[in-house]
Amino acid sequence: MNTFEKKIKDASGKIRMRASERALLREQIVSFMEYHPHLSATVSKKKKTSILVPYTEKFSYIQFTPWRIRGAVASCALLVAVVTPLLAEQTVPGDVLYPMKVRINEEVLSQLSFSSYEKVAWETRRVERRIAEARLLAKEGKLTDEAEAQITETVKEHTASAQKELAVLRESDVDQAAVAQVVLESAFDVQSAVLDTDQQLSSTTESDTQIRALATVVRDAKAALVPNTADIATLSSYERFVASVEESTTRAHELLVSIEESISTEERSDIQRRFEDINRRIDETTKMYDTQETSTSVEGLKSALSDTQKLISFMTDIDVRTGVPLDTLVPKQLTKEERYAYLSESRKHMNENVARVHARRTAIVDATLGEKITVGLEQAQSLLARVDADIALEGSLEDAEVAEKEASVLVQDLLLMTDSLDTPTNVLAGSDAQGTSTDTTTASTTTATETATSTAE
Amino acid sequence: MAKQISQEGDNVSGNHEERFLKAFDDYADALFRHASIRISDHERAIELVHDTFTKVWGYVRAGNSIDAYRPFLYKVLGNLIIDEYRRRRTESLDAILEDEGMDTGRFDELQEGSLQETLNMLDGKRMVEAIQILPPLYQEILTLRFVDGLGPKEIAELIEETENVVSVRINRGVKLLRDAVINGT
Repeated sequence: MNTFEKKIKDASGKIRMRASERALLREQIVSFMEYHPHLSATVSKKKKTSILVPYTEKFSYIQFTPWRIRGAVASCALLVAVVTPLLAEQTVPGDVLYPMKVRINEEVLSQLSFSSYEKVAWETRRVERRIAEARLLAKEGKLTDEAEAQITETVKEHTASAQKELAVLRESDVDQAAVAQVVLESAFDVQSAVLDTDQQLSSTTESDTQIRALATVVRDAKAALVPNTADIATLSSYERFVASVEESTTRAHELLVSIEESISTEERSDIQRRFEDINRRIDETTKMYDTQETSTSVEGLKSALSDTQKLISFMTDIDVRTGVPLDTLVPKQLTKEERYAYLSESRKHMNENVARVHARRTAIVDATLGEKITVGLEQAQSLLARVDADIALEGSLEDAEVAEKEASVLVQDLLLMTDSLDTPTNVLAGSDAQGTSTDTTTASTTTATETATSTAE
Repeated sequence: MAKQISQEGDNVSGNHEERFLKAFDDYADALFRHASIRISDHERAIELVHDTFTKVWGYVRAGNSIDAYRPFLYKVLGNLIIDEYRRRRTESLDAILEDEGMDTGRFDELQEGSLQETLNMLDGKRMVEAIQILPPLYQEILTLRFVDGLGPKEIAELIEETENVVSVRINRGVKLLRDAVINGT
């Protein structure tokens, strides 16, 4: 060692910690070791490291050991395989992940549908999803022309796929194809009703036009289906429909139980009423089948199945439940007793109105008008007599209803013709009491004179 | 420098603790000296030595083993000093020397020898002070070489350069140091 080195060595050798500082430092280190004991009992026997000194800021980093890399890759794969598709399910046209929803998620699910029946059901579901997306966008004012065009196109695609699968199914199982078609038509009916309601409520002309276009697509899709009546009037078809109706109604009842807490008493009552209507129709078809009216009974079952499917849509789809009145989807079916009761009630009100017209007739000066009123009254009383006869003798209920309807229209016309002579304060129309033909009054106003005239002639 | 070996049982754990504490006893002073010269801050130098040993123990307790503690400790300390430099980057070297630098009084405190020794120390002390104002590149290499007494090969491993580079750097550093002592530059 030369002098130079020795001098530095000597000088630096004087730089040292005080004894107290050194002792304190050692104590701190020992204390640190006690609080952070050696992990030899718990750590793996051998650890590999790819670095030399990882314990300073400069060198601290994650060790990319093979198992860690595999873990990271697995995590990424999990993210892509599970999380991304889940996120994609919440998207609507225009979102980044929407193509994944339509082209990957739904296609994968489509591949998981093995039978043609399942494929038809899935394509039906896809149509419902597209329309739900369109409605959501329209509600938010985001249904652009591009999005609408995209949805319209995909609805057509799904419909075409469903029809294709129906054709395949008809080749192998015509009965199941018939059932599948009823389900598909029911879905179209529900979606049409939903879109019609939206259209009525739409606040802007633009969205009104867009929704109308979608509704047209759905209606066209339904119209394009091959008529579902040719091959189903057979024994096996009847049995297959019975099985399908049984399955659907069971599911519908289970759904009602599951949503009971979330619906109002009134809604529950309405749904129960539809169940009763459906059950009654099934009973009627069974009786018809016993009397060898197979074709008619199958038609009845088709109707029951269709209504059950609509009821299921109403209970499972919150959009449908909140947007469309149940009576629009599944109109109430009156029982025989209710129909007789309605006829009696209507008959009573019409008697009052006929009496009112008679009273006004005496005040008419115009001979021509008076003659028309007289002829009209005679005609109305003739129709009412037919209704009375059918009610009294328990004749054809359908005939009585037709006569009642004609009489109702005629009496309404007579009331309108004599309206200027006396303003009725309590004019009751029979059909109005039922609440199903309110438009008749207005529509008949313009034709009142013509009707009376033609009747007189 | 660092080597992985199998770890088994408490006896191994105890062995590690003993070896670690022995390393503390052997190298704590040298590490302090090295840090003190390079950062010119007595208290901070103690803290850096403390941090060095806690980090190294963290490495050991995780199941790793160290064959040669000395270079490992120097490497960790060197990295901590670099971090310290980064923290001080905005401060001027003059301010460091003036405000936090090693003052004469401290050397006086540390001196335990006779008057002759003190006189002999004068040049040595000036050289140590001169090292502190050299560029960090030469400051590190001269400290490692002349204060810590490491050979070029050990230094080369520490700073991850070749021995030739280390030798050249030492040579240039010495010339700079001599100029600084003789010319006061």
